[in-house]
Amino acid sequence: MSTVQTGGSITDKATLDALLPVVYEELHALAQRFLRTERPDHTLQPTALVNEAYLRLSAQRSVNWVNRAQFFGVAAQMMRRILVTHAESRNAAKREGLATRVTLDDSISWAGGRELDLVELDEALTSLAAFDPRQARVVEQRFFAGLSIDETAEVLDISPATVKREWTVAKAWLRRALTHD
Amino acid sequence: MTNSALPDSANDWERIKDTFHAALEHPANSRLAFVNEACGDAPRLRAQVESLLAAHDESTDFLETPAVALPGASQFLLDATQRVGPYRLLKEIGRGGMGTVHLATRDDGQFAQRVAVKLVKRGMDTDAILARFRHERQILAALEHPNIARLLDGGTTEDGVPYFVMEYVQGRSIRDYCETRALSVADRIALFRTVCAAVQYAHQNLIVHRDIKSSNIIVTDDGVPKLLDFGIAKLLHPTQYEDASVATDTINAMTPEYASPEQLRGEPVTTATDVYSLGVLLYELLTGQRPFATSGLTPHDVMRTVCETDPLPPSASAGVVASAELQRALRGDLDTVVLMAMRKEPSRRYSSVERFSDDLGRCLTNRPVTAQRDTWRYRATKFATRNRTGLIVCALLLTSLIGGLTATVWQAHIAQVERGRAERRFAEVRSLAFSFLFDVHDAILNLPGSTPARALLVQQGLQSLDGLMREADGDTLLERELAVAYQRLGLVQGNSYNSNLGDSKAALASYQTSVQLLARVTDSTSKNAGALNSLAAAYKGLGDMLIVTGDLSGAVRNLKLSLAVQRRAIALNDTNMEYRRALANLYFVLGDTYGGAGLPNVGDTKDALESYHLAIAERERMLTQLPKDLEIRSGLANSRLNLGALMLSLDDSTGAEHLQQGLAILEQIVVEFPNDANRRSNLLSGYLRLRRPLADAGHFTAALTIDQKVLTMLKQMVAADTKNSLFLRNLGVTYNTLGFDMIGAGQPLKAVNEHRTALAIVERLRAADPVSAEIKQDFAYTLSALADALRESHQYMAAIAEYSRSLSVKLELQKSEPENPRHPVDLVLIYSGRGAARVESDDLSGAQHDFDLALPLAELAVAKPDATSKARSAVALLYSRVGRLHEHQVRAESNRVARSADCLEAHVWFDKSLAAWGTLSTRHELAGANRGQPAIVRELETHCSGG
Repeated sequence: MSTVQTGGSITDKATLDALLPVVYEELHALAQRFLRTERPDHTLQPTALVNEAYLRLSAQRSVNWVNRAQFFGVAAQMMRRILVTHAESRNAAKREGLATRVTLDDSISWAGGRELDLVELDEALTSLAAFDPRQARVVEQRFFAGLSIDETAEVLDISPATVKREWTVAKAWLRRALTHD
Repeated sequence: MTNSALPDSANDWERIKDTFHAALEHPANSRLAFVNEACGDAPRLRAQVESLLAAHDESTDFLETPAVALPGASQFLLDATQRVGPYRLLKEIGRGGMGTVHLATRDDGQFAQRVAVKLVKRGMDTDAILARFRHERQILAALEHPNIARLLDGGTTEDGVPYFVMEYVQGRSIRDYCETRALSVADRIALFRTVCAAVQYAHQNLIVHRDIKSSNIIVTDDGVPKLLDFGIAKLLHPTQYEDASVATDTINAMTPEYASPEQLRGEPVTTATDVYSLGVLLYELLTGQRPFATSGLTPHDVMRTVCETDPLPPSASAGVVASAELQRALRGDLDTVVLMAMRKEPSRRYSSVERFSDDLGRCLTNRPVTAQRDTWRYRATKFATRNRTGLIVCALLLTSLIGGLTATVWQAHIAQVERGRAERRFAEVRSLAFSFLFDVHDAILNLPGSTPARALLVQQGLQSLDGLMREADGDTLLERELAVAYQRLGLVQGNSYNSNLGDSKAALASYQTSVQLLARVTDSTSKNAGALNSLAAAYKGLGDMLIVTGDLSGAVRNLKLSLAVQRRAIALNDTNMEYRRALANLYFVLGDTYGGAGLPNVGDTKDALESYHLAIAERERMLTQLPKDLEIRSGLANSRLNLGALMLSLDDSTGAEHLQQGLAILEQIVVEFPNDANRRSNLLSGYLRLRRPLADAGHFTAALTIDQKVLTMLKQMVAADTKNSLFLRNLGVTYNTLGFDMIGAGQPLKAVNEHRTALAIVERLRAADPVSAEIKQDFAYTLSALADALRESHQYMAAIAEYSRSLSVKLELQKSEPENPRHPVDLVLIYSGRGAARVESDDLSGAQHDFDLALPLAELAVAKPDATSKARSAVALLYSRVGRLHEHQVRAESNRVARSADCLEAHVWFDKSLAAWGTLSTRHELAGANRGQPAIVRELETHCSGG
């Protein structure tokens, strides 16, 4: 297993790439089960999802996760990749006029009634990470992995106050980036 | 997003953040004033912080709900990748004319295996594809081979797009693999031959690939090639041969560089099509080039290029890119072999993938290949004859069936009302015709392992036929063709002259239906040779099946009817070789049924001999015209074998000569066709007939070596085709023979084991086909043979039990076939065996009872003028056993007078026995029938002289 940065992300890209499919599949499988067994109006609890994925993976796979925090780091990135990839393909289909079957309400709206474009958000987040990686990590944990301030603090090994500060400014920065587009 | 949103440097960003947070400490209405003050000398900083603060005011809820918990996100997550049935598509790995291929995984909560999902492009004929998939899925799913990627599943997505799920194979295409690893010519050929073995396996299972090309063969990093997409091309485009005008449309569907001339012309696709594409592939692997450059050509030009021009020999083509070493390796045999596989006419290519592969093996080991170069004369005439080269008989028959129905459909166009019905009929028969034309190809029929696949075919065929039967009123052409199709079904169901499913009841019904249909369209004055020939074939099939079910006189009746009708057909058309083949075969089967040695027969040996001679004469006449014809040659061999065996059983020792001649023909044929199961089967039965004189002459050790040879061959055949009841039955017979010869060689304990193995096999066969009289007969025989072995190894109680079981089966058989002369003789043997065992276990009254039952049957059997040597030796044996009973009574009796009386009685029976032996004129019969008889006589002398 590779070393872990303060922010909880894995430095060794190859290792991360090898792990991603594992996490990816596990998250999917879990999401499926949650949806099949719960009431239709149930909204997923991402933390629970990721927690269980972690438990299952650490029990079943020969992967030696350094710790739970590192796993959440990977899981959050994974969630981000899953959701953004989907959004990209959906956007592409729309451009080509091929989006024949849109399942349920697959747009994510946010306050103000505007649709949140996950692809734009992803691009903005990448820009943010270029000059403030820690802030980008915070956004991943909070938004994509659904962690609370305290959980994010634990995972990223920083104080909750710092998480709160970073989160506030990151949101403002991202919001501005998306609005100015 | 604009660049102005980005800070100039990390320092700037820290300042922006600090100022932003500081501003947030202030109440909302004084923040701007604070910012103004803090950034007095830095307008860019101020702009940044101000816009962030503005954004902050609008972002109360922004990003606060985690992405996955947002409305609709559950589905969002599930649909993050596309789902197809229970499969989740991970990424696209291929794209072609048919659609897209995706790497996928099954969603079942576990870490499932990865699969490849082929999504069929929208716009294709979805219903038809699915119907064909349902039709073929059992065959495709059964295709289990280490070098074939398995078809795992198929269905439709929620929006109705058909998909197929296949084993996912990671690696590179075979051409890439050969090139990146820079494999030697020998290694390339070895790899290619592995592919051939997989294709051959599929052909045995009636699957033609139709789209063999480099990109469909993936070689894993471990060097294991895997064929993808078996059977898929047929599912997508089954009808490319139906109508020549659609052929051009389907060029895009296949891969023109690999497509055979017949595919391009829209002609029937057979296993020969795969031979062709394999030839193209090998060409490409060896030379780095494809034989025909087709890119940029119009469909018409592609067709002309492939169908009319000859490719450069691989050695010349490789000259462009390859080393001198490669060119040297290619020149000569390899050139010839590749070009033979790629011949324009399917019938002039290798007759199977296996033969192609075998020839490559010969190239590698520098042995002469079987492929021959096109001759100049052939080249000059081939254009004239191209379209007339032989399709197999079945293909022709069924092509005419399609033709006939096409006409029906056309006429029905006039009457719109009729149209729907006619089209449905057309479609139904078409589906049957597909099966027959492309699946029950004669080459496949004779391959080992094809029985289960043919079983499926029968079910499908029957369904189609039953559908048609209901609508066939008054359509004589249809009726006749249906009749022929019913004969084909009978053949697969239970005709014991071929590998079959052992369902004699169903086969009998099929032949009966065929006779009824044909009787309606032919009368006593009919001048239609074709229809008469079909009727003769139907009677013949009925006769065959009646033999199997034990109605021998019924069989003779039908065979004679067949003979009369066949002769009428030949009188109308005496040049048709098929009619004459049928005639010769009829003589042969009649010979067997009249009096074939060791076969169920009606005991008319005179007519049997005559029929065999007629069969031999007819076949020798045909051979003068067709000296290489395999069917005639093996027919001649069998006629000689059966004649020889009958002559030997009638004390005519010149029969041995016929046996040797017949065997020599069969051995030669097996050398020519080492993988043809039926021909091996044929040779095996020839061996068994040769073994018989050896055993009869008491050379049991020599007989045992033949038995072992036969056993080894049969075990292999059964292993290769476990569902083939014919092979299994022969295996059981062989174990019995082995046991019999072991007893002769003085190893009765070992013999018991062999007979028990035989019994297990026969019981399996009986469970599968409880109606067959032949199998019942095998069962009775095996039980009595086991009992004999038990008696010989002094296990008398066990022997008595098995004799009794055998007896009850035999009595049942005799009841259903009262005329069969075999049964009384067998009953004599069983009663006398049980009696002998009872004598040895001192149940003398029980023995007397058995002998009392046997004696009248025995005397009746030998009273006939044409009594077989088996019958006579059975009687002689019985007499000596009765003598043995009295000998035991001598020992048991204390009264001196009674002892003398018993001794005298014993003497009388032994004398009768010796006299009966004396009627067996030849030495071999004596030896064979009377193992250990002189010892009994000697023992008698001691006892009686002492008394």
